[in-house]
Amino acid sequence: MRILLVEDDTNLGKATAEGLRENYAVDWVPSSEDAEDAMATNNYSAIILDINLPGASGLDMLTTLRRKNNPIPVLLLTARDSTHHKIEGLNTGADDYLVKPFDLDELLARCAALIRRAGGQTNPVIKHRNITYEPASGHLELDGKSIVMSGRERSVFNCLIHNIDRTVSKDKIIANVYDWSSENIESNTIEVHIASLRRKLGRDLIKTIRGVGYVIEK
Amino acid sequence: MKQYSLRNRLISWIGIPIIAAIICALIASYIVTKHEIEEVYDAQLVHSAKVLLQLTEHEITEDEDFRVGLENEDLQHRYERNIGFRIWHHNVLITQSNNSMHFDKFEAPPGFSDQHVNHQDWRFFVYLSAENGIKIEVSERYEIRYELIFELLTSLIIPAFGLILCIFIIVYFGAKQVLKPVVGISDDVDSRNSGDLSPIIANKLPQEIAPLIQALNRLLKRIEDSFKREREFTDHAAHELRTPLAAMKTQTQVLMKKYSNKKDNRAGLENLSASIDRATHLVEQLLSLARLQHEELPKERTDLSACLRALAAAAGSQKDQGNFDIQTDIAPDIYVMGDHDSISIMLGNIIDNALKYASDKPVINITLSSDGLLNIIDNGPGLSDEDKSSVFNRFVRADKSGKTGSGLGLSIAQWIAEAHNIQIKLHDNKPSGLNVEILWRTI
Repeated sequence: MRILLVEDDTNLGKATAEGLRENYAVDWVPSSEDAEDAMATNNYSAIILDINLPGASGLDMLTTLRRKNNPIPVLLLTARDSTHHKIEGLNTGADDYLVKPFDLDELLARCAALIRRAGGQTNPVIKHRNITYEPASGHLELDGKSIVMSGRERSVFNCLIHNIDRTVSKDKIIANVYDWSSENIESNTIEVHIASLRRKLGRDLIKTIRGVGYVIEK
Repeated sequence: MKQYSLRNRLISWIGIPIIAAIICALIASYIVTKHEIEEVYDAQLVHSAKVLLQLTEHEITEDEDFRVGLENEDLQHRYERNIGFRIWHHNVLITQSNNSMHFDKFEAPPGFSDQHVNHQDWRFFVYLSAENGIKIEVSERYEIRYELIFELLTSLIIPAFGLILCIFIIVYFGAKQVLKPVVGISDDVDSRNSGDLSPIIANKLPQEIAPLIQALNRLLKRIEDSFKREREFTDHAAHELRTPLAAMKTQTQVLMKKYSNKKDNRAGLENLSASIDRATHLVEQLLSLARLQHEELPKERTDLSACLRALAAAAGSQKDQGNFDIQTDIAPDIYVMGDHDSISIMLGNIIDNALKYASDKPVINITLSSDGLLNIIDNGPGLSDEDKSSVFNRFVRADKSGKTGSGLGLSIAQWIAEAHNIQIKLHDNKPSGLNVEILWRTI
């Protein structure tokens, strides 16, 4: 899962990106123009968009997005809490709305809900064979026993479980796990995480399709 | 401000000179009329004397036993009793009219004279014919002249008074009509709500008040601009203050997730987080106060019961710091006219306050009766009478126990109450605590 954060305030942007990286790969840009560029080169699962931006405002950017029929989930962040601002934001095409200052856990939960619903899924808990997984909290159980995953492992697992029965290329996993802040992506890092996941969840859950990528089969 | 009525001014400035002019005209016509009547009647007296002399001269000198029979009973006029004559020949009274008999021995001097005889005013003309010793005296009561003058003047005064009355009525209604645009504009301004600063629009405006309206419109524009700037400032301030607060809060939460395994770190970060929340709360309260003061609250049908239930439930769910006991007895379907959001802020602030200052084992009682009487009662220490009056002032915090608060909550509540024309009353609760009472007008 890769999320685009558009926020012009450096401190808030940094802090929010850091908080979101617990669950997602996050690209943080300070303006709607940069956001357009980022969207041209990457696939995002959701956008967290500040309304008050230098240049074109968040609402302008949202209007353009929806005019292009882009269905990506958008969560608006704003300092203005009056009802008509909320209504304006939601009518422009936002899927959700948070007023600053917000609670980080609430932001994470709302993002998870947006991404889940965008994937056509209403149940917040994914069950597969003997695995129970809550994407919002990252909580994973195997045969009723809690399994602890590292952040990167969770990102890799997240990406595979959301694309269940579909082969996911290594490049796509990389795009979902590593954002621009990540340094030195070793060519075999994904393999390291897959190996570690197999140790925790069993050998045959994640299958390798040679030359193509990985898959969790139904 | 000294006030005066334009209409009354108009009436006095137009009416009084006209009355004065009419009175002057009446006096002038009285003088002229009197003079003319005197001349005409005097001329008639002289003429009568001459006629009498001509008619009687011959007979008197010829015949000693002469009489003039003027007392024909068939030919009488009521004015005749006011006219008389006497004729002497060599100082012997020869004949006289009936009306002159009561003059008796009285004799008027020759020529014109005014005499008072037997309590009556008479005008006399005495003609002496020196050559044959005849003296003719014609007399006429002044009453005739007075009556004529009086009747002439009356026929002038009555229409004059009618004219004055007409002028007053015309000026009164004319002024009313002329001042109609002024009244219309003042009604227009009166009927506006306090937030309406749109310019005064009048289709037809008299030249005299157009500059006033234009000046007023310029003033309204300036006020509206400054209100707008203030609103924009509030909005801007909201953004400018909330963003760094959000950055602090998020950063603190990130740090808490990362480093909360160490006890020292955790306590410090929790402290920091609480301080940020407090600053956020203060900013929120300030902003809502600023915003409420610059916006006209919409008045709509609001479900007070539902609003209270939601607030009680919200208060109940945030009771993580102690054992709150919130008891509610809320009559269902109580509706009031007002703005739901601000009523919610007001009641929320009062309930927060009750929770904050209740005792260690807080018990909050929220009751809403079917006639709209709301009581929010806590079991805290209550307030002294002095504090009761000051607690609604901004930044006043009655409690000195060090509990956190902005000192704005109740002041905002009070402001919202005033905007809704309702009163927040503070009573002592027995045995202890504060009873906040609000009587709503239900609909």
